[in-house]
Amino acid sequence: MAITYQGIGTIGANSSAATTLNVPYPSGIQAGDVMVLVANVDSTTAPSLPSGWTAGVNYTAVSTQVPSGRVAVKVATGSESGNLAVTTPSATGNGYILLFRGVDNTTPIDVAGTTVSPASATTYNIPTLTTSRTGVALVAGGTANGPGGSWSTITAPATMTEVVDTTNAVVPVMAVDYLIWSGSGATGTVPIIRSSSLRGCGWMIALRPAATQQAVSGTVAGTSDTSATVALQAAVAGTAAASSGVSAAPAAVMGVSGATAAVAAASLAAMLLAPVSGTTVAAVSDVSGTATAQLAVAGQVDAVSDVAGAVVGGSTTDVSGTVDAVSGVVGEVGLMAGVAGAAAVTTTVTADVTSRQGITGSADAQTAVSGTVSGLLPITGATAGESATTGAVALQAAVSGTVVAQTGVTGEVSDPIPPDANPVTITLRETGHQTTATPTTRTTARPVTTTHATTARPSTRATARTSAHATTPEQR
Amino acid sequence: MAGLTNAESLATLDARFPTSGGTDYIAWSVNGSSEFSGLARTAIGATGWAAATSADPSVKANGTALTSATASSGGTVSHFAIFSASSGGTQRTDWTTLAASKTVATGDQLTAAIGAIAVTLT
Repeated sequence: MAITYQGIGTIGANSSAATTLNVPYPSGIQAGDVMVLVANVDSTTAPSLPSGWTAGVNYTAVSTQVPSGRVAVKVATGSESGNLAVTTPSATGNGYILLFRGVDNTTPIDVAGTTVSPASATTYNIPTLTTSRTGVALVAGGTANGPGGSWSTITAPATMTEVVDTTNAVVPVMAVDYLIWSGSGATGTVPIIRSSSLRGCGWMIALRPAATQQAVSGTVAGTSDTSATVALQAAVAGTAAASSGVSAAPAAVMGVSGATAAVAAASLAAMLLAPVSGTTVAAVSDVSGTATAQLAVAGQVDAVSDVAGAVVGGSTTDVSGTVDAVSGVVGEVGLMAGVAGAAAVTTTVTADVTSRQGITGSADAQTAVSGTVSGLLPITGATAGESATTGAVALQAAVSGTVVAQTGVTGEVSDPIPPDANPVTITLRETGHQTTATPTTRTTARPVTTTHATTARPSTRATARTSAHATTPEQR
Repeated sequence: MAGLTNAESLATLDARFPTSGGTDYIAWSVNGSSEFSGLARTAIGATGWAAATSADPSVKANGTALTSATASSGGTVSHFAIFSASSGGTQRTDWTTLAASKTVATGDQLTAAIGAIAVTLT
């Protein structure tokens, strides 16, 4: 806030010796204005500091001679009126009050003032002072053991405005100038020049401008790159993507009508609940937690690679697309009821693969399945556990398609079909040997369990509850 | 719009910028990439954050007027960021452009009216 000069009060004077100097307040004082009192006396002792005022500078002529004086400041309350009574030594004297606005009310005086007390001279060189900032008000003056002569306007560090210039009205004579200085730092020597040589004093203070306050505003728009939980809940109409670096659980809970993707490096669970009506629900790679897709998934659910946790297509109903768990799945892959499309588990599945009720498409577990592959009822498509299956392959009731377990099946292949179940074909392909239960009607009350030891892989067994099936001699 | 629901944004903002117990500070920048040494961070205060609004998008903003310290040197302040401490600490938001840059001189202060410093999450 820039300092502005508001005016000066009438000069108060004691033309004869007195101990009280009445200095009139200037008019127009507002709360927060800063008043500068200058009081000079024809004495070797400066006036007293009035109550509530802050000392600026004191000065006394060289060799403790007259005149002397005081500069003080005070933040106005706005209720000042009449005269300020200043206690002085018994002497003649005079004084006045300057009024400034925009001065810092906490620290009105920017830096300590300076004085000079020359012997008889026309130029009083007021020593430099160093301001802390731009915009200070430099107030400089002189007093001399007059009467006689006049004062020139001060011109350093820039031309000032002279507001007091007494000549011989009352001893001592005095002058004061001010400058709202656009510079800062050292002022350099400030000469105040008289027309006649007199003993006296020069002084200067700097008033600090009030802080300029500038209003700011701004908005942080947070979107991505958050380390906190990213939660996607109801009614997401478009695509909701948590792409990378998600350290917490991304959840799309209900009513996601667009595609939802938890793409990479989701370290916690990625959950997709019902009803997801978009085309693709993908937990693509490096999912170390559980990826769950539950009810009413109308699109495709993919868990592609390196899923360290379980991939549960808990699609108890109405999965009309494809459910794929391709490779590197070390947890459980579960496909439950109502899978209308293909369910494929391709390679390196180390845990159980479960295809349960109502699979109308194909359910394939191809290579290196070390857990159990089970297809429950009723499976109308083909179910294949092809090679290197080390766990059991269980096919239960009402399989109407082909069940194929090819090479390297070291576990059990079972088909606990009830008597009235649909025809089924079981094929074991191993170095040319086949155990086949061709389409037939199961009529026995209790199925016969038969163990088939093949020549190539004695551990391979095929158990089928069939009343009639062709076997080779080697299998006996 | 894709992303967090408004309710979730509101809850998240209130959780991350609580209405009590906060220790956040506003840091100032003249270049959008580093902190301005001429102006100390401004405390938002333990209860300086207002509750996130229920508007869409939810807005978390200062609930009390803020005034910076006086600048110790001049510069044109163009950005701000929220930090977790008066010095050092964790930068909690990216450097964000002020609605208008402000040129400060030594001794000047920046002020933020209630609601002037805001965070949204979508």
